[in-house]
Order: sequence, then structure tokens, then C-alpha cells
Amino acid sequence: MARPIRSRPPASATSPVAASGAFGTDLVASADSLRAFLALLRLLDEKGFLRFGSDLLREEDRVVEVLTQRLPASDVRGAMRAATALAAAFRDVDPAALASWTARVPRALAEAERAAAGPPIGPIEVLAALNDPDVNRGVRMTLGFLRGAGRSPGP
Amino acid sequence: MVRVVLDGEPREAPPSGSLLEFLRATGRSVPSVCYHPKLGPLATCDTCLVVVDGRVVRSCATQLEEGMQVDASSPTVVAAREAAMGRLLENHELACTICDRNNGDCELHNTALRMGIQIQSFRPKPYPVDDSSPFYSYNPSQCILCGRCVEACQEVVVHEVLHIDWSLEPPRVVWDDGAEIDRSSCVSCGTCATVCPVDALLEKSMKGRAAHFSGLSAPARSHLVSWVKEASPDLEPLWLSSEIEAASRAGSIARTKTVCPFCGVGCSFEVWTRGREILKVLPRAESPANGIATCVKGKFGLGFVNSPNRLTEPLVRDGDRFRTTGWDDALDRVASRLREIRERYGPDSIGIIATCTGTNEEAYLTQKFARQVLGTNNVDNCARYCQAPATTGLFRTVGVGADPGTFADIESAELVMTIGSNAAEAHPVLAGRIKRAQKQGRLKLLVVDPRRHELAARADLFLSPRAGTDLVLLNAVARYLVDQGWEDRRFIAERTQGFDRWKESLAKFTLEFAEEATGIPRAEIVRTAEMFHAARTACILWAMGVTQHQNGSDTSTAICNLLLVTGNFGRPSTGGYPLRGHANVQGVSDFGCLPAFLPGYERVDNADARARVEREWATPLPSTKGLTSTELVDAILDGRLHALYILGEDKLLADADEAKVARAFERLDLLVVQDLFLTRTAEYADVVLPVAASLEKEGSFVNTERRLQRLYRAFPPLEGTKTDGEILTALANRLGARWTATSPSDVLDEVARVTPAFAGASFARLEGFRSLLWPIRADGTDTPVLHLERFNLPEGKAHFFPVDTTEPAPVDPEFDLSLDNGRVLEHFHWGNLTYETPGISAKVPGSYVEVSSVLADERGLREGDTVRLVSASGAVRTRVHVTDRVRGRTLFLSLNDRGEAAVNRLTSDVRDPPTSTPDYKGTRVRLERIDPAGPLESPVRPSNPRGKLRRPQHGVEVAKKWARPDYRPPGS
Repeated sequence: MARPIRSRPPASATSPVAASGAFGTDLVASADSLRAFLALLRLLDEKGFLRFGSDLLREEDRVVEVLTQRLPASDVRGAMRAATALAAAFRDVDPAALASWTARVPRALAEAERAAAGPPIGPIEVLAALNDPDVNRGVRMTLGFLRGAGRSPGP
Repeated sequence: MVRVVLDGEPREAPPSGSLLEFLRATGRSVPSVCYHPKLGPLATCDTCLVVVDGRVVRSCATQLEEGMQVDASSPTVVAAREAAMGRLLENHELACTICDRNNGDCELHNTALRMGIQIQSFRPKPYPVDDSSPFYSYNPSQCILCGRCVEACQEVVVHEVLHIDWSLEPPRVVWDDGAEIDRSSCVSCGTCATVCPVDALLEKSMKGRAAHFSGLSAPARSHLVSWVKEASPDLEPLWLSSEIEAASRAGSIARTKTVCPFCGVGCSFEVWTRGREILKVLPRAESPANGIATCVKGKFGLGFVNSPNRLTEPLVRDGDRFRTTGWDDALDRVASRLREIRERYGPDSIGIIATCTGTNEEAYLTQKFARQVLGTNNVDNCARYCQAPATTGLFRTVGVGADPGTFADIESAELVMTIGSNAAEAHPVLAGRIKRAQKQGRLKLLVVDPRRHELAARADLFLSPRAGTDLVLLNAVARYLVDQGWEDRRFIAERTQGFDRWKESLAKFTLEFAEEATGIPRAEIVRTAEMFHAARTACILWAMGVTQHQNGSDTSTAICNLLLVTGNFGRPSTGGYPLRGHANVQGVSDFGCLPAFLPGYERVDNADARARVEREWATPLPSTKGLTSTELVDAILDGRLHALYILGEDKLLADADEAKVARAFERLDLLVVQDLFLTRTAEYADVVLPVAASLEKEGSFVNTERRLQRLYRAFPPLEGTKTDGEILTALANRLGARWTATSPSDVLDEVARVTPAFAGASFARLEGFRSLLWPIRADGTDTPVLHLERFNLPEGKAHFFPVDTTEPAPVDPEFDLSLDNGRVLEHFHWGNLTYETPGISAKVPGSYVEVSSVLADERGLREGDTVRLVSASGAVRTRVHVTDRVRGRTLFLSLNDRGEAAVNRLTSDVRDPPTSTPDYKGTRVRLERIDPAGPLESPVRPSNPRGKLRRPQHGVEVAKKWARPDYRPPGS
């Protein structure tokens, strides 16, 4: 006598993660990082950037076709010039100096985080901070960067 | 041909057709935003302008004439078109790069791009987006007022909901008399969204999903659009970026042709998917059965494919619970149990029920498994519950148990009679074609039904005979025709046999007798006969209201006799059309899943046919007829049948007398169920095998017209599932067969070798939207209309087959009400598939019993009361909807319930003797009130389209646009 069974069993436990051994351990150890990475991925996907990027790559032939059909070479000339100038600027950068500069970024961010958590500052405190040689050097670098970026690429 | 001068060159043009079609045929690119080949000229957009004999005219609405001087490319023409396009673009903000319709087929985008439009002056309309429907939305500000949606709604599917209110400032599309979409009479067929050339009407499954950057909020989108407009002097950046976006999108959105898995109309369409996500269903003009039309199930009801309730692992019974297991274990278990039972009790102790939503190729393998591997003809399908009596009626009279023609024949007939068919809900796309022909004055519609359903309300003549008396009505009409001398004597003499004997059999069917038996006034019987006499071509369509009676075969035969006496067989636009209920119930029968027939309707006792199959299969085949699906239940209960293998059918809910079927299942030694979900039938199984859905596999279906159509795989089977074909092949080979066919195409090739009716069938000949109507000759020639030369009976002649009334089963006075039952538009039968789509569940969350106002007054019933219906078989609990769709003491309970309102708790196993089809429609019940309703507790939700007032009109009424003071005529 086969009576009706109205409920389904849970899915079987032989999931790929459970069967993956050491890889599973690594996954667990990296859980926080992975979560952050996955959150970023999800955001990129939700905003459409991820799909757009992969679709652009997947359809590169069509995209190139559209670009070359719709963009007269004359219209692209200005953009090409700007891109060339940018490349030239990077060519002049000393790799060691660039490495040194980028290495300072995490330190600067950490300092910024600490400062942001402190009490509010007014104009007098700002002027006083310029006496700090590190701050003063940072302001000089920023102004120099802005000056270089704003300069016309030339003929 | 006519001679015209086109841009100064003499040309020859076809004698009919529009100027626009001719210009396109010459290779000219003529803008025509509002034109759609399935809608004809709407003349609303004014972009297809040309100068003919000095006057600016719309080429879509201009017929070719001898001597025409046509200017299609001068600066005057170009300027007129650009002016018209500019006015269109006032109604639609071009934001193509972030538009969900930017898939390369937006006609406004493409036209503006081709015309080189660089400036837009957009004026938003002061109306909010209507987002109320669960299926699609309407954005008035993006609507170009082309009227395609209105034309489709009013003239193609004829639901008559949409119109453009040209008196508004500014005009917009309106539902009914201004209702929100979800509170209107809209039946959610989605045809408006299908034909919309822009994104004004958009499927919600596309909205925010199809475009890249779909996550942008509305304000962010708005800012972005404004910023781009301010930043660029012209539209060139928009054209560039949107073209790149569309090109990139094409790679991730797949468009796969498939055939709808629900009713037997056989709508074909593209399904757009990204991975497993279904973005939209898009019928195409070249879809042979449906063109651009769909119903709510086909357009929006495919959600079940991705339901989390799908089975993804085989289940085996372990005492009073199921446990999951692997495929090898499950298949080994089924194979060994089938082997044991066959060895112990013989091959006929096993029965197989084929799925009517599987493919033809899987149906062929199912009956091959029964006959070759198990050695039994005990194989049947769900046609047993519905259309087997219709097939019998056709076999008796014309020799082929299938529709004799196509939908084109039906809609081109002068008279269409539907009897026992609620086509507007059960076969809605076909009903649309009939409504269209009637609305355009091309046919008369005669409806015979106990309920005043939509087609009945639209009919030129509606007759509502007492339940079970259709045969009397038909024979009385036939007798009156003969008495008047209106029979088609030439047809009868040349193409039929048995007229005199049949004529004698009509003796008792006088008008008086018929009026007494049916309750139809004699004048209306006479009028029916007069309508047949007046029509040069007539078709009769019937369904379960005829077949699910104990005289279903005889009434079907009477239908055919009536058509024969009026000469309405064997010619285009004539014939008798049973309307098949499942997507492939026709194909499953055609491909041999019947106890008396091999594939192609060759009898199992036909030695020649059997020998042909035996050679192919290298196995002797059983030659005695097997048991029908309903007889299998009897055989279980009397100990003859020990194993039942059911593919894709919820037999507990489908068969009559649920309690009896449940008792039978409990007695089986082995019940194997193959399905998408844990159905009520699967609950009784020893082994449950999870299968792939039709979107996940290749194959072909046959629709009710006999039309073979291919379906392609939109995405792979859900992980853990297999196709019916894969499962059958694995089981067959475990049981010693050596099946080697590796693809559905191989299987169809085998069918072609053994079945003359499919000799020319092949996947190559069914490529894309191509289709073939069987019989198909070896050279690929198909047969849209049967019986043109001869009938498939001795001497090639049709047979008049006398039929008489059947003594009705005795009525217990305790059961004083007649219970009708059937489908509702939104759900497919009990709703195993359709309840998985949330929008459908929201609109129609359950069934209810329709009670006439007369009966409600008599019993003190109110809308929403909970009642019990009790029959000799069982009882159901449901809620009351008071309506004039039913009359007097007849109730109607729809099928879409799987629990305590399941209609087959009430039906009995009284059957039509020739076919064993249950008398579902002859059910008698009593009604007991349980709870009175509270205030406003109707079981009919406000979003249910029933009972709302439609707004019929002819087309888009463009003359009202032209009469507006702000209208600027072409060229002005």
C-alpha cells in the first residue's frame, strides 16, 4: 500500500564545496575578503558594468565595426592626440619614483582615516597644518599635478 | 502587372499591394515606423511619404495603379519625411544607450539613424507610467502614438481593450475607459508589447534587465540623459554609444525559436534569454499558427522553467518518506523492478502513459519502449481524457482522426460553429483569429454551449441546450436541412456513402422532439439550419463540452454527419476541427502512444504495418490492442496491472473520480513518475525522475492543425534533470535494448523510415519557423488540407454514420444541480505550471464555482460564500461567484485547483463506450453552504479581467488624429 508522500527531502549533501577539501578550507579562511570581493562583483553586475564589459569583449568584432563605421577618422583625431600626449606623459615618469609614490598612497589613506575620526578643524588649524613639512610637500605635489594635467597637449 | 514611373524610371509592379511594399521590393529604404506586415497600413506616423502625381501621400496606404508617377527620393520627399519624423520624436526621448529596447530592432531608433536625424525636440507628456500590471508597463512619455498596440488589440487578437484617446491633450493610449492596466479588461496577452516599435509598452521581464547599466536609478538616468544632451551639439554621440551598446548586448542575449508548451494551438515564438533568465517571448510575423499573437500563458507564463520548486534529483520511496538518490541508482531500480514484474506477471501487467508536453521524438521512444522493450500495447496518453471521442467521430465518417485543414481554413470559412468549446479561454489565439474574421464581417459565428462565455457573447447566434443533448440538436438541424431539400446532393452522390440509411436514422429528430429534449426553441434550430444553408463554406470546432460525455463519440459523429450533408468536407475552408488541448497531444497520438495504433495511426493488428516496424526494431510486436489510460486504472484494481510508468501527467488530478484513482495507485507494485515537479500523482510514486522542460531540449511538436514545428534548446537542462528521451534510452538499454539514436533528429529519421505519414519529415525541413502538415510525402510535400481528392475510407468516400441518443445515466434526485467544468484562460489545467508564475497567481489565485443569479437568489447565496459541492464520488469546498455566464441550475467549476476544490473529486467514471473517455461533463452535485461571505469577499480579484467593460472600435481611428487642430498634414 503506497500512501502519498507530500513532502520533499532536502537536497543531497554532496555539494561541490563539501567535496573540495583543502580548497574549501582556503575559501573559509578568505571568507571576509571573498565577501567583499563578491559584494563588489554584485554591485558591478547590478549596475550593469560587469555585463557591459564582458559583452563588449565578447562582441569586439561588432563593436569595432560600429566604431569604424560611425566614427570618421577626422573626428577621432583630437582624442587620439590627447591619448598620445597622456601616453607621452607616462613615458616620462621614472618607474622608481612612481613606485615610491604609489607606495605612499596606503599610508596617506590610513592617515586620512585617522584625521577624519578626529575633532573638526577650522581655518586657523589649516594654516597651522601647512607648517607641517609633510603636509606642505603634499600640497605642493597636488598643485604641481593639477598644473601639469591642465596644460594643453600642444599641436 | 501595372506600369509605374519611379523616380523617372519606368517599372513594372505587382497588380495588388501597397506602394510601400513595392518600394521596399525595389530595395529602397523607406521609413515606415507605424507599419507592421501583420497590421497593415495604420497611416499614423506619416514617415513613409512619397509624391504621387504631384501629391504628397503615405505610401503604406496607397495602392499601386497603372501609370502612377512616383517620386520617392527628391528633396521634397526627404524634407516631408524629416518633418514627420521630427514630430514623432517630439513624443519619444531618445536615450537609446540605456534603453531596454535597444536590441537592434527598435524601429524608431533604426529609422532615425538611417535618416541621419541629428536634432530632437522632445516634449514629455504629463502622464505617469502605468506600472500596475505584473506583466508589462506603459510609459506615455515614450509613446509615439503609432497605434500599433491599438490595432493589434482591436483587430488582431480582438480583446478590444486599448484605444488612443485623440481628444486628450496630449493624446495617449487608454485601457477601457481610463482604467489602470491591472484593473482593466486586459487579458495580458502581451501582443501590444510585442508590436510596440519603441519601449513605451515593455515586458517587465525586459525592464531594467535587458539594457546594460540597468541598475541606474530613474533620477540618475534622467541626469545622465540631460548631461549628454547638454554636452553634445547633436545626436551623434547617442547614435555611436547606443549602437555599441546594442552590438555588445547581442552577444549575451540569445534568441531561440520554440513552441509554446501549453495548449494545442501551437504558437511559436522566439524566447529571449540571458543565461537561464527569460527576458521575453517574442512571436514573429512568420510564426505559422499565431503570427504576432500570444496569450498570457505563452507570453508571460514560462516562469515555471526556473521555479525553485523544480525537481533536481531522483527520489525513491523509503517507507513513508522520499529520499534523494543518484541517477544510476534510480534507473537501475526502475529497470530491475520492471524486469521482475514483466517476468512474474507478463508484459501486459505494465502500463505506460506518455506525456502530452514532451516532443514527438520522445513520444515515439515512449511507445517504442512499451512495444519493443516491454512487449505491451498498454501505452496511452491524455487524449483519452479529452479528444479520443472526436477522433472516433472523424475516423467513422472521413477516415482520418485529425483536423482536416488549418487555422487559415477556419478563419476563411463563411460560417464557424463552435460547440462545447470555450476557445476564447482554452485556445485563445485561435479564438482571436475567429473574432477578427467575424469583426471584419467575413464570417458568421454560431456558438453552442451551456455557458455564455466570450465567444457566446459575441456570437451571431448562441444556443444553450441542456447538458448532454448536443447530439439531438445536431441531428435535428440535419433533418431540417434534408427536409427542406438543402442537402448538397452533388457532394453526397460523388463523395459519400450511406446517405439513405443515415437519413432514415433521423426520423425521430423532429423540431418538436429536439425542442423538448434540448430546450432550444424550434425557431432557433431552424435558424441554425438556415445559417448552414446560406454559407458556402462552414467549419465546426468542438472540444471537451462535446467529447466528455458518455455519448462523446456519437455527438462527434453527428457533427461530421452535419458537415457531410452540407458538403463541408474535402474543400478549403470547411471541415470538422476538434481543438486539441495540450501542446503536443496531437503529436503524441500521431507518433503512436495509443493502445490500438502504431505511429501514423496504423492499427496494431495490421500485419503489414507491424512487419515494417518489426524489421526496423528487430523485435516481434504484440498484435492485440492494449488498455486505455482509464482502463489501466480498472486493471490495477482488479489485479491485472502491477506497474505503471507515467511521464509528465498528473493522472490523479486528470482522471475522473480522484478517490478511485488514488485507491488504484496505492495498490500498484511499482509506480514510476517522470515530471518537473512533485505532483499529486508523484506523491504516490516509488520512484520520481526529474525531467527537463521543453525550453531545455530539442525536438518537434504537432499542433491541432497537424502542423509539425521544431523547438530548439534555449538553455541546458536544469542541473540534475534529464530529458524524457535520455531517460527512456537509458532504461531501454538497461533492459537489453540497443538504442543508438543519439539525437532527436536521429529519432525523427527513424520515424520517417517506418511511418508513411511522416516519410518526408526531417529536422532540416523544419528549420527555423518552417513547418509541415502531415501526411508528408518522401519529397517533403505536405498536406495543408485533407480529403481534397478522396477520403481515407473504402472507395475513397466519406461515410454517413447513423447515431442515436444515449439513455442518460439515472439521476439521483439528491444531486439536483448539473456541474460543468473547464479551463480558465490564465491557468493550464490544475495549474502545476502556471501557478509558478507569480503574476498569474496574483491575478487568479484559485478556482471558484460560478452560480447563476437565479440559483443564488433561490438558495440565498452571496458572492464569496464558501460552499461544499457533493456528488456520488466525493466533495469539494470552494467559493461562490455569482454570474450570468451560467444559467439556471448549472454550475461551473474551473480546473485550476489541486486540493480541496479539485474538480475530479466530484466526477465519476461513467465513460463513452467506444473510447473509455470519462463523462466529466455529466456530473451531478448538490450544493451546501458552509460560511457566508464577509463584505467584499469576492473570489474574483479586482485584477481579474472578467466582468470589465471592453471598448470595441475599428482600429486606431486615425481620422480623429487628422481632425485635431494641431495636426499638420503630410508635406505641409
